[in-house]
Amino acid sequence: MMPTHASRRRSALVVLALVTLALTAACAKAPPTLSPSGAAAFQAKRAVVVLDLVRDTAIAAEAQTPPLVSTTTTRAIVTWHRAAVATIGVVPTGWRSAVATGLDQVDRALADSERAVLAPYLALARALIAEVQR
Amino acid sequence: MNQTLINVAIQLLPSLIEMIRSRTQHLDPAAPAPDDAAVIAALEAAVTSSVTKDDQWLAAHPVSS
Repeated sequence: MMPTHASRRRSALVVLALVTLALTAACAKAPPTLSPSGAAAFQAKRAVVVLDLVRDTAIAAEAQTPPLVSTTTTRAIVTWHRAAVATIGVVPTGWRSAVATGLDQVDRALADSERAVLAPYLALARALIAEVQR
Repeated sequence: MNQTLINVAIQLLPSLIEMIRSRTQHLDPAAPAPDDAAVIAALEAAVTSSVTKDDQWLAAHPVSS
């Protein structure tokens, strides 16, 4: 059955609302009580949460019938995510370049249909990385 | 397709709620100011939890030979 204009609009609104919430949540300054290393850990944890969102989107999309993202692509995303999060945990002050590079590689490997699903979350991750770089 | 996208969005709600909670918890005037140790511990816990979920998914979806 073809989706109606109203149902497409409703879906777009749901995704827009979620991404708006996520962007609002992602744009935070570290509390002033923290030292530079504490502030770095604060920002690093926010990055982990946003990267989790990318990973969770891929896993949820792969679990649909039919899958919106292939298992192969999801495996690549989960593998990248694991490496990125581990890097953040080990180097809370120096993870940005490696994570951004990996994110670009994941993006380039996506099929167009997969990019349509994941693009808002990849953009969110990029926005957070840019925000933390300030 | 649209219902599928909504299903995906619904499955993402816990992640979004956690993101908003972590964003706003330090704005509560009754909450103690976070210190370095608490923030670093929270980061370590988040990393451990996140990597565990990755490992579980990868174990459940092995590369077929």
